[in-house]
Formats: sequence, structure tokens, C-alpha cells
Amino acid sequence: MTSIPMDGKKKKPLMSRLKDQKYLFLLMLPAVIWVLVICYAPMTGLYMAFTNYRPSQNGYFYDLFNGKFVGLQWFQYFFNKDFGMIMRNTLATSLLTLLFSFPAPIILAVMLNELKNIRLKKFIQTASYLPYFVSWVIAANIFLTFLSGGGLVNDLLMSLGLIKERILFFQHGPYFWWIIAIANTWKGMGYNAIIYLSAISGIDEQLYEAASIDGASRIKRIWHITLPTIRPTIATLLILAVGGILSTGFEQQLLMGNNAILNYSDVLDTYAYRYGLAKGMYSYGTAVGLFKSIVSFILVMSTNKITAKLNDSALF
Amino acid sequence: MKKLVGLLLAAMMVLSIMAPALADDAVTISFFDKNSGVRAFDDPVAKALEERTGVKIDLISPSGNPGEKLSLMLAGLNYPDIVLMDRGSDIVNQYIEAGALVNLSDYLDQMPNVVAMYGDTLNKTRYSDGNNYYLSNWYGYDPDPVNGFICRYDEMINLVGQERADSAEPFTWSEFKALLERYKAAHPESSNTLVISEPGSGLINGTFAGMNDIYPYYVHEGKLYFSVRDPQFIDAIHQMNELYREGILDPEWTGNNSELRNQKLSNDGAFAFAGAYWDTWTPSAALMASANENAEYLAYKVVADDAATTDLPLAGRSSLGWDAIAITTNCKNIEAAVKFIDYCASQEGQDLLLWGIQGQDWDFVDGVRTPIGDIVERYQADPSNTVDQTGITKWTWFVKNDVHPDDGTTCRIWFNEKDRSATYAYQNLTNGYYDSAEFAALEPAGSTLEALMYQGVIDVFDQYYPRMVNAASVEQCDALYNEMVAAMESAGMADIEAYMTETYFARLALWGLEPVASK
Repeated sequence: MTSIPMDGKKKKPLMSRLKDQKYLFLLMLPAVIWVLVICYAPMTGLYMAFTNYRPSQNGYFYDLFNGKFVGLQWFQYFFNKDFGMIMRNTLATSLLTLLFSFPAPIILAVMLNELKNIRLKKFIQTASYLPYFVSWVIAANIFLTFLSGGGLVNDLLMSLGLIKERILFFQHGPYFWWIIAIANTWKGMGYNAIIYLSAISGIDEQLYEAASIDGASRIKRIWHITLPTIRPTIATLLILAVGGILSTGFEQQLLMGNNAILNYSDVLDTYAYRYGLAKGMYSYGTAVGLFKSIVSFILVMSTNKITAKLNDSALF
Repeated sequence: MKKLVGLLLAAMMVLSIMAPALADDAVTISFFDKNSGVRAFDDPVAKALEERTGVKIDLISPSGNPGEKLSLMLAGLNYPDIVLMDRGSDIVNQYIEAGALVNLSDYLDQMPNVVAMYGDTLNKTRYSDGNNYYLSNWYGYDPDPVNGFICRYDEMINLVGQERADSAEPFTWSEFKALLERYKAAHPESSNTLVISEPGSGLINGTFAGMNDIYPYYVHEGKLYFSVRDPQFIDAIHQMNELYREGILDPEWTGNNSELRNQKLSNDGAFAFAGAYWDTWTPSAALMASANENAEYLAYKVVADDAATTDLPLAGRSSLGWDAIAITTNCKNIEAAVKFIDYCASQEGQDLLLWGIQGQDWDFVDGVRTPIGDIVERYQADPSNTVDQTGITKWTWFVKNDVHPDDGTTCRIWFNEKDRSATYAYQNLTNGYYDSAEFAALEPAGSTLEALMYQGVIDVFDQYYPRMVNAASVEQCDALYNEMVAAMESAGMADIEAYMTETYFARLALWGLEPVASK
């Protein structure tokens, strides 16, 4: 059955529309080719997760499709061996990161919005998003130095009398999850706040003025005007954050972790990297990566559904 | 005027296109050196090498993890003309199995210098099909000392007196531990009395392993096992754990990279380092400049209390070298690459790479190679900058560990005359050498289930080793040891050992050798 558009006119057949809008489609063609070549063509490599891929001189596609088919062997090995530990670390680090890094930019953006001194506001904004541009190599060294046994944090805690013995932050696994969560938040908070600030800047000033006349306090104005208005932005960013829950970081774990806490610092990405690239076990690394992608996809779809039900707004 | 400008521009374009061809008709060979870091191939030695071989080198930087880059290059079939890889790693076998390396056996008749210099090493580095696919780097027997307890000489004099500090007699573990405890008691604020390097993969600290007669693998009654099964393994762990619990061992040793380690050793409070004697050169230079001329780290040998012999495996070095250098099948001009390799491997080429330019950096005096001017002093004062500026020992390719057969000088200009740290190392760390070639690359290679199992076993070891050393009590340390062995077993340790036993004894049979360390 052909759908009837709102204006009552019958929709033209697809081929006819393609012909009518051929120049528009032609303009779109480079982008479509780009998506196909860059985003979809490499996905053929996912087949590697089901074979015993070994590179040879016959070329990539020959090796890919002529490698011995092993079914779910690599997945089985992963689930039987390291899956529990790796998922525990990934989820613990991610959920802690989400706990801190999701509300932090909202709070920062709301606080900045309430700040009346423009120069101070700009200074705080600049200072808070600078860490985003600092590479993880430098950021990791800052954390390693500050949190070392003889570092600034221990000196401070000792001088305040809060601890009697120095804390060896990088020797205790569970501390590592918190360190990564805090480091992720510190690095991304200011940058993410920009998105919320731009959403807040779109709020009609008259709403605030009317609320003030009605006697609403500053807290009430934030609660009843600012936060509800930026709710769609919060929902969108939450969907994206949940979708990326298994992408809890990579460089930070590699740079700040050590063997003493490897059973707490190894996450899906570092694990796939260690086996897939550093050890040249391409098929196994691909299997771990594919597993991560599937779970992430399910998480995004679920969160989108839930958000749509709760909020009347969803990403797609 | 417009025409003139147009003509000039057109002429410039044509010339710029033709310029490279006109200026330089040398063959370009791309070379991946995993050790090259961010160095540029533009020093006097590099230029002289290009002139003498007629080959222009396009150095490919590892930029990050060389192992990862090698894996990616292999997967993408975009490896350069020559690759220098870690010989002990299975990446070499992956390249061979992928058919990415040129069979050098077909070209040996064009490489007379290689054949003359490498000799029997070529037989030992043959692949299972009997062909040579790579040449070793740092090959040959190299009985230099390596591991020991490298202690502050001035503090050693304070603790045991000048005569004992200068004596070549080894300390027993009890004697040495008492020294560490006395030092710690005199410096209670010190948390770094003994510093060690961060754990490597699959191995415990070389000094503690050597002191307890532990080899990379435990060979017993015709079988090869992981070293955790060596009865003395737990002794070494107990010693380290005891030092940790007494606050003598640096509590953050697992996070030490070379910079952090040097910082700790350069500060007051550190007394000793357990590792290779040359790793303390930078902190020694800093301390001698800031404290006193005896504030230098010098090597001492320590033997286990019940050791039957003082000949302990403190210096495992592979006669087959650290690296493998190979021509890949992507090389379009194999003849030029072969010529380049043959020159580098020749005595003349080695002298250029490791002694510098004759007449400028060194020359023959009464038939003996002799450094010119203050070049060695410059190196001793500032090693890294001197190497960078002169190019000497900056490109260590096809290196043969040997003295010159004609004058007896060392293969590298810097080490012809021993400084105090080398003198003490040679005097004190005696009889520690063994050829570790037979243990290299025994693990299953490539993308196989066995290779995954091997990595799983090593992962378990890597996670438990620091936890055992940092255990709160000896009971906890033992419990962790038992837990580790059980976890390694469940990861497939016995199957991997069976695989490696077969490879190991087949190799020994091929080479006509007896196991170096059968217990």
C-alpha cells in the first residue's frame, strides 16, 4: 500500500524521485562512498574472528577467506579464560567513570551559567577544558607523580594528619578503578560542559525573569527551568555514554597500570590490543573486539528505548 | 613580463620534478629498526655508510611499540625492505611463516663477509626448513658480566671498610642482607634502600634468579619446565618478599620505568640496585657530580647461603644475539640490500658503525686501533649526546660480540678501556656467563590455540610475581605461589611444557649440545 503524505498528494515512485533529484543524490555520492569504504568495507575483517587468520603473500582477502574456519573457538577460549576478570574491570572502571564524569559537566555548566563575573567565568571555563587537550602520556605522568608514595597527595594527607602511612595508590588494584574514573572525569569534564553550556544558552531569559518575579530562588530556577530544558541534551549524552560503557579507555590503562595490578587494570581494549596487535594473534583480538561491539550495540539500543519511554526524547 | 614570469615558473616546476633524480641516483632501501626510537639517520657515520655502500637508507621509525608496528606491517603486507626485530619474540617466525622474508641462503654466495664473520652462527639460526631467513645482531659468545647487586661504593666503604669493599670475594646472602638492614637502620626515612627494575614478562629479577641458580627454564630429568617449578624459585621469592616486608625493597618497584628508577637511585636513601651493572651509569654520574667521587654504583656478587658453587647464572647472554635482521619480499632491489648487509657485517663496516670514521674518530697506532682526541672522555661524561652527535654505536647492526682478531681491541670504541664500574663488574661478577641461546623462542608461534595458551600462562605469572613479592607475610606469599601454580596449570602449563620440551631437545640435537642447566 502506498503511503499518502500529509498534504494529500500521492507520493511519487522511488525511481521517479531519484531521477527528479539526481543532482542532489550526486552531491551526496562522495559521502556515501566514504561511508561504504571507510566504515563498512573494513567490517569484512570481522570474519577473521571465526577463522585462524594468518597473513601470507597471497593478499589480505585471500588469507581472510582461506583461513581455517574455527567457528566460535576464539570466543569460547575468551569466555572460558579471562572474560570474567576483563568484564569486571571494564564495567567497574566504566560505571565509576560514569558516576563521576556524567553529572560533573552538568554541575559545572550550571554553576558557570550562574556565575555573573564574566572574566572569572571565562577563566574557569578555559582552565576546566584545558585538560582535554593534554595528551594521556602527560596526564598519566602527572597522576603517577602526584599519587606516588612520595608524591604530593601523600605529602598532603600526611601533613593534614589524615593518614599515618603513605598510601601506595598504584599497588592496590581497586584503587586503580577510582584513579581512572577520576582521571577520565578531570580530563573530559570541562570539554563536555561546553555542550551543556550551549544548551543552557538557548534558554529564553524571560523564563528566568518570570520565575524571579514569582519569587523563585536560584536553586528553584535551576531545578525548574535550567535542568528540564537541557534534559534532551542530557538524554542524548547519556545514550552515548552508555553505548560507550565498554570503551572505558585505553592509553590511561596502559600508561598508568603495572603488572602488580594487571588483574584490575586490564580492560577489553587493552586485552584485545595485547593479544591482537602486540602478540600478533589477529583472530583472537578480532573476536574480543567483535564481542565488545555487539554488547555496545545492544546497550545503545536498549538505552535509547528506555530513554524514549521515560523522556519522550530519544536519539533515533 | 608575464610571459617571462610564466616561463620561469614552468622551468622551476620542471626542475623541481627532476631534481631528486638529478641530485641523487643512489638506491633507497627502507629499514625498520625496532631500536632506533626517534633518532634521525643524518650523523657522520650514517653519511659515511651511505657513501660507501651507495645505498640511501630510509629509516622507518618504530614510533611507539615496535612489536605492534611489526604486527601491523605484517598484517597489511606493507613492511619495508629490511626489518630488525626482536629475535627472542615469535614475530620472527610469524614473518617467516607468512613468506614475508627473503631466503638469504640463496644469496650467501654474494655475501662473503657475512659467511666469514658469522661462521657457525648461520647454522644455528636456520629455520626448520634448513634455510636462513635472517641474520643475528649482537651474535657471538659474549662473556661480559651482567647482573649483580650494584651498590653505592662510598656507603659500602662505610659499612664494611675499604679493604672488603675492594675485595672480589662474594658476599653470602645473609651477610649482604645484614648490610641492607644496617643501612636501613641508619637511614630509617629511606624507602628505597634496594631498588629493582619493573617486572619483565615471564621472568623474575635477574640478580635474584642468578643468585639462586635459576635459569629461564627448569630442565629436569629430560624435560623442560617453567622456572616456577624449580625448587629454588620460591627461595628467590622469599628473599625479595622479606626485603619488601622489612621496608628495604622499594615498595613501588612494579611501576619503575628507567627514568623513575634513575631518579630513585640518584637520590640519597638508595643504597643498592639489583640488576645489570650498566643500568646505574646515569645515576652514578649524577651522584659523583653532586656528592663525592666515590658515590658511584659498583657491582658486587652475592651467593645464596647454601650455594654449592659461586659459579651462578648471573649473565645469561645469547650467542645468537638479541635481534634478527632480514630482507623482506617487498624489497625491490635485493642485490643492493644484500650488498649493503655484506658491507655492514664486514670488519670494515663494523669498525665504521662501532668505532666511527677512521682518521677522524680513531686510527691505527703501531697496528692497534686507538681513539683520537678526547672522544672516549666525551662519551663517559655525556654518553647519549656523544653517540647522537658522532653516530658511533648509534646504528648497531649485524654486531659481532668479539674482540678484533688483529689487535685484541673491543668491538666498540667506548669499552676499549674499562672505567671503574666495568673494572669492578669484571672483577666481582665472575663465572656468571651462560649461553641462553638454547632457551630463546621456544614458545609456540603465531595465531594458534597453543600460542594463546602460552600467553595465558605467562599472564598468570606476570600477575602473581609482584603480588608474591609484595605479600604481607611469608604465609600469604606461599599461598599466592600455590595459587599461581594452580592457575598456570589450569591455563595449560603442562601442555605448553610438553610442546617446548620437544622443541628444546630437537634444537639441542640439531646443535649437538647438552642442556646448559640440567638439574
